[in-house]
Amino acid sequence: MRNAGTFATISSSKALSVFVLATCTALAGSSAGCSSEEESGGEGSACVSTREFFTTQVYGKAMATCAGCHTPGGVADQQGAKFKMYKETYPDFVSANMASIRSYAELEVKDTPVILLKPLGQREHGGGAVLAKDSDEYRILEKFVTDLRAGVEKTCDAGDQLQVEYLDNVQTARKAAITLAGRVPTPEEEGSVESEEGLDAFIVKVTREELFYDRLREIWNDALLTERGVDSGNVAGTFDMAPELYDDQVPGYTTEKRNWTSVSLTEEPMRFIEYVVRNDLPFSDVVAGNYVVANPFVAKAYGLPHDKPLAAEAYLEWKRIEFSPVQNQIRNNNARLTPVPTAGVLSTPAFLNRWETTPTNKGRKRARIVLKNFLATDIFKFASRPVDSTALTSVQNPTSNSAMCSVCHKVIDPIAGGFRGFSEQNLTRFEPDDKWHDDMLPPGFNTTQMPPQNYGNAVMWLGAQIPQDSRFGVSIAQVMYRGIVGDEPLTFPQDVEAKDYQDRVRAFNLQNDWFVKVGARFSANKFDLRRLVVDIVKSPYFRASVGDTNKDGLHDGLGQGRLLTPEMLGRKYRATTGLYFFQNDAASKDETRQRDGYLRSDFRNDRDWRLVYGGIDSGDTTKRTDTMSPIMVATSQYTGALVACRSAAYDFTKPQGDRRLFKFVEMTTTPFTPRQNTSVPLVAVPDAEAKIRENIKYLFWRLLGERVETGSAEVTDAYTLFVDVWKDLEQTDLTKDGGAKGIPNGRCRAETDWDKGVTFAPDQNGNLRATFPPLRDRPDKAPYEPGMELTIDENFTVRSWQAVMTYLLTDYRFTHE
Amino acid sequence: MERRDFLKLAGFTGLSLMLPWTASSQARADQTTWGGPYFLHMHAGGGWDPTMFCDGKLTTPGATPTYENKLTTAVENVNGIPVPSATATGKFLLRENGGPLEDPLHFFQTVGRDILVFNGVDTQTNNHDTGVQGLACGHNDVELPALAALFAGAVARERQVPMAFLASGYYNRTGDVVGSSRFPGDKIPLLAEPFRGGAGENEAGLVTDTAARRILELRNQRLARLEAQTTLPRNKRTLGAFKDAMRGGDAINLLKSVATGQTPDISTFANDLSPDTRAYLTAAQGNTARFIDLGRPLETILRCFQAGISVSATFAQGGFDTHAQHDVNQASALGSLLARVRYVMLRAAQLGIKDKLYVMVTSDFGRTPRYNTGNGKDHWNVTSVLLAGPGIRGGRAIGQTDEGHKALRVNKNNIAEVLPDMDTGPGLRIHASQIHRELRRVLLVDKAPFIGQFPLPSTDEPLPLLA
Repeated sequence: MRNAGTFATISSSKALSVFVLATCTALAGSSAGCSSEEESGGEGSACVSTREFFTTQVYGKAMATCAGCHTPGGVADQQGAKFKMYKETYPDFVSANMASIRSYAELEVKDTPVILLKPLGQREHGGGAVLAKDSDEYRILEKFVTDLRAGVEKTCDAGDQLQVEYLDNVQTARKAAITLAGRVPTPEEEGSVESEEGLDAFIVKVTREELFYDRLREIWNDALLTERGVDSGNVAGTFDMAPELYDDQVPGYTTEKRNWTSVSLTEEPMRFIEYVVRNDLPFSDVVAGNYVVANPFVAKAYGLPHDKPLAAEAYLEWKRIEFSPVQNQIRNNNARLTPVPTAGVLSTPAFLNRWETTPTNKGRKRARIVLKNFLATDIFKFASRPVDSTALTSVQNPTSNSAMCSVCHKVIDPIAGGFRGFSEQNLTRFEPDDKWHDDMLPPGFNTTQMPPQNYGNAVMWLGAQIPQDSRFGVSIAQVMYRGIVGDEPLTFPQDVEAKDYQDRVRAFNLQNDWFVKVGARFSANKFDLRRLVVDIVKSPYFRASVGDTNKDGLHDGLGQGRLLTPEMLGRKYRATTGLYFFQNDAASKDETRQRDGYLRSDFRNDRDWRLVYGGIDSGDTTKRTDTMSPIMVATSQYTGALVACRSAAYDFTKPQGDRRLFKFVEMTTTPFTPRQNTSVPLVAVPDAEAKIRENIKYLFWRLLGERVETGSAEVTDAYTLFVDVWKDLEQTDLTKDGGAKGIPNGRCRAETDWDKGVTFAPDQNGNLRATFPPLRDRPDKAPYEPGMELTIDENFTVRSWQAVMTYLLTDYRFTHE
Repeated sequence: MERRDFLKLAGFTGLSLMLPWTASSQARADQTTWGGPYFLHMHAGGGWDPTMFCDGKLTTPGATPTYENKLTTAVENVNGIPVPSATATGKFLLRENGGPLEDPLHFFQTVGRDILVFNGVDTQTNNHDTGVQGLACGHNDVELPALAALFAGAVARERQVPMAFLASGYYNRTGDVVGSSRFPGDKIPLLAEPFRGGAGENEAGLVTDTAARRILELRNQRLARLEAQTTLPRNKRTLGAFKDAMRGGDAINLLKSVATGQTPDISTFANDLSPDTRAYLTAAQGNTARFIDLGRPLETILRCFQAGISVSATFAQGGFDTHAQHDVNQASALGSLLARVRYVMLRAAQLGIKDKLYVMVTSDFGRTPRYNTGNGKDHWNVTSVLLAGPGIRGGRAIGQTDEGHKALRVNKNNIAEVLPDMDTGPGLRIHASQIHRELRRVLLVDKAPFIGQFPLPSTDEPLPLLA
C-alpha cells in the first residue's frame, strides 16, 4: 500500500510497503512549507526532494566551505555575520539551515541575493572568494537559492525511498508484546490486530501492563543511569528529617529501614517516570512536574506525609505529593526548614548524585545530561573542532571569551545555572541564597535569561522551559527509539568518498525527518508517551524485515535481529515458556517485585549475570553490548538449556489445554513403538510424526515468531533432533534393562507447581525462603495424571522435547528480535 | 588480513607463533587460541597530569608563573625523560593517604626502560569524551573502533578466539569487527560446557550428550539458512556476530585455567619494587598484599592473554579529574596507575608473554599548568602517552613541552629533533592519530580487510614515531 501521509499506517497486507517521510516538518522555527511541488517517483526513478538536494549537494558540496566559518562560534559568527549555518550535530540541522538560507536569501542587491554574491568575494565577504562563478558548486547554490526564493520545495512520494518489506500486523504485535511487556499475544488478540486501529489499540494496551513499566524504567535508566545507587545516610542525612532511616544511634533505626530508604531514593527518578506514564500525565512532567513522587521511605526522608506505613510491603506505594521536600538546616545555631524546589527527575537526589558537580564543574555535567536526554543535543558533538588550550593562556575566562570554548559554553552554561542552589560539595543540599558563578553566562535557556526572582527555585524555571523547546519531543523520541529499536539514531555520514555516501545521507535524512515529525506529534499529543510508542513500533525501524541486500547504505538502521538485553531475554523466557531463568531460587522476598509475584529473573536480579550477558550496572558499565560474543553465546546456551529443561517437564504436568508449549502432543506421543529388545526393528506410530511436527511448527511461532510449514526444513531438522534423542534414550534404556527411564538431572524434573504462587517462611537460620506448592506424588507404577510430579520419562519424550526446546531457546531468533 | 601478515608480525616480535598446544588438540586450538602478540590499552580516566611523572616541571619565575607546582622541587632527567624527583620534604613519591604507591624515578630507571614516552601530545580537546575517544581510536570527530578492537578484529579473521577483545575500558567501540567480551568470573564452570549446566563428570547434564552434539550440528545448518534469508544491515550485523561467537565457543573451557590460576606471590615482585614503596606495597590488605590487590584486574587480562583466549584488552582507572586538591588526589590516582603499569610489566615477564605484549597508557588530556581557586587543576589539551612492546625501543622520550607545559613540535624528518611551536614547516605537533597510525602499522591492523572503513583523519600528516 502506498501512503502519502504518515507511516503510522504502514500496512502489513502488502509484501512491499512504503515509507513516507518527506512531508512537512513540524519543528517550530522551520518554515519548510507543504505547498510544494511533489513528484511521484515511480519504481526505480530517482526523485530528489529539496531537503535531500540541500543535504547532499548544498551542505555536503557547494556550501561545505561556508560551514567552516559560519557555524555558531566560527570566525564569521564572531565577526557578526548575519548568515549562520548549523553542523549536522545540530538537531534537525536540515530545517535549521534551510530556514537560515531562506531568510538570508531575502536580502538582495540589485535583484541578486546577497547569498549569491558573498561566495564570489563580493559585498565585503570576510572569507573572500570561495566559489568561482562557473563552478559546479556555484551553480548548485544558485539553483537552490533560486528555487527557495521562488517557493519551490519539492517533496517526493516516498514510495521509492525505502523499498523494504515489513513485519505484518500480527508479527508486529507479537514482537511489541514480547519486547515491551514480556508476553505473547493471545489468539484473540492476534485476531484483533488485523486492522490498523486494532494494532494501535493493542500496542497501547501492552503499554498499560505491569512489565511494560519495568521496560520503561530500563529504557530511561539506560539514558540517565541514576540506578547506580545512593546511600540513605548521605541523602536522608542531608534532609535531616528522619534520622531513624540512617543513624544507628537513634531509637527506631533498623538496617532494613536504611536499606529500603537507599533503594527507594535510588529508584525515585525511574519511579517518577513510571508514575507519570502510569497515570497518563504529560511526559513533560518528567522535567517540569513541581511535585514529588514518593513511597513511604522517600516521603519520610523528605519530611512529607504518606498514608502508607514505613514498611517494605509498602515499597510500591509511589504516590504524588504536592508539597516540597524539606531540609532541616542549622545556621548560627538557628534551625530552619528549607523547602527544596522540585522539577521532575532533575531535582531528585539520585539524579543530582549520579551527575555530580564540583566548584569548578559548576553544574555543567548535569546540563550536558539535560541537553542530551531532553533536548536531543550532544554537546560533545555540538561543535567538533580542535581545542588548543595552550593558545588561551592569555584569554581571561576563556569559556566566555574564547570562541573556541564559548561555542559550547554559551549553550551549556545557562542550563547549568538551572542547578544553582544545589551544593557543589554535598550535591543534595539546597540553599536558595547560594551565589552562582560570576564567570559564567547567567542562568537561562537558549537566549532567555532566567528572571532573578526565580534564582531561588532555578531548577523549576529550567524544567518549565525544556518542554517548550521543540527539541524536547525529538529527544524523548530518540530515547524511546534507543530502547525500543535497540540502536542509536543514525549519525550524519562522514566518509564522503564512500560509494554509498548518497544512500547513507538519504538514510540519515529520512530518519532525521522522521524523528522531527514524530517528536512534533508527541508534543502535539500533550506528550502522550503511549502514542509515541505506537509511532515507533509502527515505524520501519521496528518493522522492516526484508530489503535489497545491496542497499546497506540506504537501509542503515533497518532490519530485525536486535540482540535482546538480559532483562528482555529473561522476560521472553517467561513469556514463552512460563518460567524466568533462575539459577537457584525461583522467587525471593524482594518487595520491589511484588506485582510480579516475587518471581526471580536472574537476568534482572543478579548483577553478575546481567554483566556477563552484556548488561549494565549504571556505574562502571554504562553501555550495553549489542552483538553476541562467545561468552554471551555460552551464557545463552546455559540459560536456554536450563529454562528448556525445567519448562518442558513442567508443561507436561498440565492438562493439554492448559499448556503453553505442548498443545498437540502427549507424553505418550512417541515416534516409534518402544521395543522389548534391540533386535526388534522400530515401528512408526501412525499419526505421531504429524502431531510432533505440528507441535514443532507451533513452537517455531511461539518461541521464534517464525511461520513454518510442517514439511519445512526447519521443522524437519527439529523433528530429526527429537527422533535422534528419542532413539538414543530408548536404545540406552534397553541396554540397561529399563534403567534409563528416570530424568537424571534434578533440575530437569518437575516437582514444583510454579504457577500456584510463592509463599515465604523462615528457614532454620531465620532467613525467608521461597516455597512453591509441590506437585502431587506419583505412586509407583501409577499412570501419569496432570498435577503429578514428573521424574520418570518412561516414553523418552520429555527428554526429547527438552532437547528440541533447548535447540529453539538457544536459536538466534530467540535471543534476537 | 592474510595469514602471512600475522606470521610477519610474529617475526617482528622476534617470535614464532608458539602456542600452548598439545599435538592432539592442535587442530582445534589452531582455530580458537592466539599465541600473541597482545595489546593492552590502559587509560587514566579524567585527565592525568604528566608533569607529576614523565614530564616533570618546576614552578616558573614571576608573579603569575606560566607553570605552577606546589609539590615538586627537583626534576631529574632519566634518558631524556624529565621525572620529578624531590619535594620540599624529601623524595618525590606518589602517595595515597600518605602511603607511598609509586616512585617515578625508580619506575623509569627500572620497568620504564622498556617504555617509550611521548611528551607534548596535543589531544586537541578539553572534553572528556572526545579525549577518551581520540586516544582510544585515533580520531576525535569520528567514533572509530578502539585500536584494541581493531587488532582483535584483525586476529578474529584468522581465529575464533573466544574473548578476543576483553573490554573493561571507557571506550570499547568495535565497529562490529569483533564482539566485545567481559570476564565472566565465577560463571566459568557453567559456561565452559553450557549444556551440562555445571554437572560433575559422572552426572547427567541438562540435555543428553547426543542432544548436545546434534543441536550444535543442526545449528550450523540453521544459521546457513538464516544467512541466506538475511538482507538488511541489522540482521547482517547481529547474525554475523552470532556466527562468529558460536565458532569461538569451543575454547571457552580454556577460561577454566584463567579462573583457577594461582594468585602470584608478592615475594616474586618484592625485589623489583622501589625501596621507598616496598614496605607499603607488600603490606597485606586483608589476605592480599597491596601490590597484588592493585594488579588484580590486570592479572585476569594477562592470564587470558597467556591462555590464548584474548587478543587485546582495554582497562580504565578513574580518579584523575582533579579539579580540586590536585596534588593530593592526582598523586593518589597516578600512584595506583603507575603501580599497575609496573605490575603489568613484571607479571607479563613471569607469565612469559612480556616479549609479545604491547601496552599503551593514555589519558583524556593533561591538566592546566596553574591551580584554580580550589587548588585543583583543570583540563589542558597537552598530555603524554606511554608505549611499550616488542620492537619498541623504550627508556626514552619523543616530543617535549616548554616550561609552561605547552606542546613543542617534532621535526617530521627527524622525530628526535624538537622544534618551537611556531615552526610550522617541518615541525608537527604530535597528535593521537599519528601514534595510532604507527600502531596500526606495527600491529598490521592497517592490512586488515575492514580497515578502509575506518580511516584516521587525513588532516594529520603521518609521523614516523615508531620507525
